[in-house]
Amino acid sequence: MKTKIIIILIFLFQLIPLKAWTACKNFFDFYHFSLYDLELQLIYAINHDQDLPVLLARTFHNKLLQFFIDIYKRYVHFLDPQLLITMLTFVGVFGVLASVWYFLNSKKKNKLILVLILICFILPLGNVIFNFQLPFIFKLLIIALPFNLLSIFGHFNFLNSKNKKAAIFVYVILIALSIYWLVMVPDQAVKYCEMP
Amino acid sequence: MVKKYKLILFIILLVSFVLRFYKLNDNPPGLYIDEVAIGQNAYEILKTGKDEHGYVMPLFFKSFGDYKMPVYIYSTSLSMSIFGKNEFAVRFPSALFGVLTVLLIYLIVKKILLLDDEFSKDRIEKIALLSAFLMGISSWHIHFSRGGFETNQALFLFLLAVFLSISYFKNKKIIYLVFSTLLFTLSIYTYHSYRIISPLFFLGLVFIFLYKDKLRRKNLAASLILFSILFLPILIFSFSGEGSARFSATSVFSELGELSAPQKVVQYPFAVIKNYLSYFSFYYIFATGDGIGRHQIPEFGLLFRWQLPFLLIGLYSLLRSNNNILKLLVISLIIIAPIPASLAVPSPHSLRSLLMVFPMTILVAVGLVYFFDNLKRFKIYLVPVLMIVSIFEFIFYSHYYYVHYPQVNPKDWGAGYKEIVVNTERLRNAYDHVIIDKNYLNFAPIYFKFYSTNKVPEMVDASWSKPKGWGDEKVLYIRPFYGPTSSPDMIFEVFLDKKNNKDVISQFWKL
Repeated sequence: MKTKIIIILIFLFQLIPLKAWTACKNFFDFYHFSLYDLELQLIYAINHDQDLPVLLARTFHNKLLQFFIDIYKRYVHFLDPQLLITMLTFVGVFGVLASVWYFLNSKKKNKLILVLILICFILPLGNVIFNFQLPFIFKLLIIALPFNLLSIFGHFNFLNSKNKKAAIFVYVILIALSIYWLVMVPDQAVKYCEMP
Repeated sequence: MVKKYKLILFIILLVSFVLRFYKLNDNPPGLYIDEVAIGQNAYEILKTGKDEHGYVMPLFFKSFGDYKMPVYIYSTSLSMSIFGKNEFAVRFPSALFGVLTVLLIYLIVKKILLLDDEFSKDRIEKIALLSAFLMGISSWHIHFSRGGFETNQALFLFLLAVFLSISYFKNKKIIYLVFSTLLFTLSIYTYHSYRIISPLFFLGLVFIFLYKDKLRRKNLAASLILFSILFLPILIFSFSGEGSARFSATSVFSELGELSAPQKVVQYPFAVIKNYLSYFSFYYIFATGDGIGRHQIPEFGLLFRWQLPFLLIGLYSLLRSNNNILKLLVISLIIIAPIPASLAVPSPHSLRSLLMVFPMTILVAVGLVYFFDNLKRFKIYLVPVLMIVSIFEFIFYSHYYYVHYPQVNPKDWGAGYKEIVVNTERLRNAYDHVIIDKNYLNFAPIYFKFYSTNKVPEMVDASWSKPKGWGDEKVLYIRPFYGPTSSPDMIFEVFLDKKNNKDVISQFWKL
């Protein structure tokens, strides 16, 4: 019972940074794929291949290849530690990592956790490619909420580990770091999103 | 070692050698200012025993006031005694130590895994060879092996010290401990970052050895004393006016401006934490690098894109493994390596955090082995796919490195300065005076010292006009091309300007 109360409190704590995000209109353009941008990148790249055979230039610089490179770049930019900390706090990021760890180490794989993990990593990819045309608050919820829910699994397993005192100590440090981060950069979200 | 493994290792080293030495003079395109300064100081030491400022065999080289560490410069002197005063000689030590680092990673991984009974000898060889191969083709490591970067030599010396420490741990021979201690201190005198990394790591090692081997406390105490004595000069220097100048110029704290003591307590740690986190950004590691033109190839990060999942798998596998020594080494280096770089700006910085390439390469190797061990059924399909992807990405990288990079980033490598010197020397005899506009060409003197044996031209500002006392004397006046745009980016031009009483020739030099 005590553990459940702690987890609920941690979950509520993790929702605090989302308030700063509610002021956003959308993620910056950089987090969304753009065909126009891709074409500009190709034109710039091909300029340097003026002396090469066309076939060779096209092997290295074509829309298909550049598409994958571009999507990859934007997706990993989204999975930036500072962005995730700004969205979930240090506690939330720890919870997500712990969830993945416990999931991989468990003998009987929890299907719900697997689905949550997939949602966590596929939804941002979907947003990068398609730039979901939703009010930002909904976009934020569908991206941030799965991470927060996933972290509960990690917190639960970690708090139920053998060395409870060490676990509590770790959470005290993480909460202190999270509060420090929130106090120092309350508007860190503006680094990642457009304001109206 | 079985013959086939020796052959594979030889091939890996050969490939590493070619990747680091092929067209070393020409790519990167031109020596950048620190390379030229290193080269010039190395040459002066070789010829006169003094640096460019006249100090005899200095421990710290004043250079541009940044007080360079000595080891790479003395190594370059040795290189110049063989190859002469040229770009190749300046870059040779870095390239050579780059190749040797590939061998070293093989030896370290093998030695650590042999300490345990977790793996068979065959599997140990595979992991060690794979680590060496990945380091050999690592874009991050290749790039810094091909420039005159002190950090690359420091990386080698540090890893050699680690190797000897592990050897001491296994064999208990005092000679390993002595040389390990010496090499840890030598790495400190090679690159600035190791002033923090080496002492931290060395102290950690000493504590571990003390814990594991209480009988040899005297040896460890002696090595600690030796380290302290050798570390003392640089410690004193670091707190001196000259020594702290470099730190002040690049420190993350200098950006925060004047703060009261309570404000410092609150803001300084935050600045460091923020910088520290930036070193674990996938965007930085796999997509774009640190954005500094001299440090990586456009469109590429520090590691290849296909390595991302294997890095994560390797981390998971290592954390689960029973090999505590490898776990401790890799995790501790990943944690320690970004610390000194986090104290400076800009962050992230791929040069200052080059040490991270070692643990990351091992993680990718471990990840690959773990992945294919657990998916044996699909190996027949996955291996060809992975090979095609990795080979294509490497060829793609090579295309960018040899075709795009010299065109996109020549300015970052001081390209153009050599042409100024060469053309000036060609024309010099026809003129009574040679002067240079120091606006945008303020590093010209060091390039003249390196590429020419003649007197360095006088540096003047943009408002210069020919003194009346010079009468009809002819002036070769070198200045950037201002032209219709205000940016003197790509063209350095000497031009005729009789209106302002300058009597010069017109010469058009393109980069």
